[in-house]
Amino acid sequence: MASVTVVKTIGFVIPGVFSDPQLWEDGAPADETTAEKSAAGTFATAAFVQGEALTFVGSGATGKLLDTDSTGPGTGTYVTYGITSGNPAAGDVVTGGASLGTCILSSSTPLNVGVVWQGQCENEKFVVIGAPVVTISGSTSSSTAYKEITTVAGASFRDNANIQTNALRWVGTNGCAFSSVFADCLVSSEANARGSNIQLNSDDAGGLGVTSASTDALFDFLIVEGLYAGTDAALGAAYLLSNAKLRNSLVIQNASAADHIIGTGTGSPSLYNTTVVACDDLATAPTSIFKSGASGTVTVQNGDLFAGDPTKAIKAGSATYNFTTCYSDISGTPGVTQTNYSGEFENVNDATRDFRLKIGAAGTDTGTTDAANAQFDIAGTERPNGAAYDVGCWELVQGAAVPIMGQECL
Amino acid sequence: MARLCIRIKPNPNTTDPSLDVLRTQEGDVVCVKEDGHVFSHGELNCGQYRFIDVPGAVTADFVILIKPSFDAGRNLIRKRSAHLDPAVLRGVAWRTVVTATKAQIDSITVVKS
Repeated sequence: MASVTVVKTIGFVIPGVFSDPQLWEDGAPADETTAEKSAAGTFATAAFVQGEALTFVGSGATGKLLDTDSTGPGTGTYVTYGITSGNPAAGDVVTGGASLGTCILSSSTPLNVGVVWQGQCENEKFVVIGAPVVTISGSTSSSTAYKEITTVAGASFRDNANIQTNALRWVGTNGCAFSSVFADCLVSSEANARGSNIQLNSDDAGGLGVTSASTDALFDFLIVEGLYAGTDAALGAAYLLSNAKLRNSLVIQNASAADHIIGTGTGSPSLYNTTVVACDDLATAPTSIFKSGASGTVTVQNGDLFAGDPTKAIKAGSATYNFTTCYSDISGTPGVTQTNYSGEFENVNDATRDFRLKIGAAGTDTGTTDAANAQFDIAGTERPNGAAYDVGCWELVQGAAVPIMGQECL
Repeated sequence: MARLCIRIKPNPNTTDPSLDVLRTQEGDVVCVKEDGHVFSHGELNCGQYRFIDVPGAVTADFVILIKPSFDAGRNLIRKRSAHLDPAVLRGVAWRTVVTATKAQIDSITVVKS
């Protein structure tokens, strides 16, 4: 039976169903694979409250309210719940522990089993001091029932009207943005977790952290900035310690004299059309782009990998690395073509960084076609725009009319 | 002023109890917010949480209550490193408390081991 996506908005300036990403995460069912959406009627007494405990009078089951279309007595056709115990049955009187609202289940056969618990963030800046903005963990998941954090339509930096001309870096006013102070920004420690469309920044740790427990996680269309100068292969400006996929994203290491940009530990992550960089004018470039532990297989396809110093290394550690159609300012790695850093991007200096691909970049039209992982770029441009995929997260829009100041297109 | 959002109801993973430590449990602080943060209707009324205001404090004062714990391999081992003693929160002295000082919060903070 198909799972159902339960969409919950997250915002405090624009009030959402949840006011904070961590409270959204906390509101998920303990088992996303067994949560059910069932037909229901006879809604009475009061409106149900998001997240309240439920009792199923009749079968004796218990659970938690995830969703309903009921707005109060006399309205509503379904209820979606996480199951804490028992097995809800037809005729059960579902009763909210906080609201005392009730409804009656119409059937013992649910409409859906399994939920995608999807949090959609408003165009706001979510800031947390000393801890991640959100830590995803603790629920049972599957490939069809999982947690997913993304943005409301129109709220992402990708939806910004000026996405094609905005500098490509973390800018809090360009769209939904997470920022952690003295901590990782987004940590995933749950299998199958997903995230997209958000800007992540940490001033002292990883912008994105995927632990070894987060198998089959999928992250797409992210701007990730981190600042981690230590040597631990299980940490980094971003760290990917499982078989997670990171696609169509930008990762920036902001620390000078960092050991590496992305740590993979003993994980086997895959990166598709991802741009991984340290700014060219950092006092000291990172020693390597990637650092692994004792094992793992790291797959990088259509990667733009720039440290800002051609004497540095692309990889360190004992993992097996598979690079396909990648570009870097560092030579000597099969699958990676060396090119000039400043020729690839609009601006590679820290203060004015802008990692949109530049006209004439070597990575233009030289990538591997892969519609499964890179059909769209970080700005929403469909690939290819030109003869072939561009390398990195940005697909250069070719042939577009570019007005010159004072010479508007007629 | 800081406002603590505290889980007050059990929150087990009945399918896989080994994941309980990776979920917030009774006494865990889910988040700490500054003045002006507006919690949602569901957050305020679902019965899973209670809220304690701490005048004169800022969110940074309560980092220990919202930090997760990791092992050396960066595996998440606890959703929260410390919590407010659930037994004390349930007790007569704290049951109805909606405002506290930082010292009072500190006095019932327990680092998990």
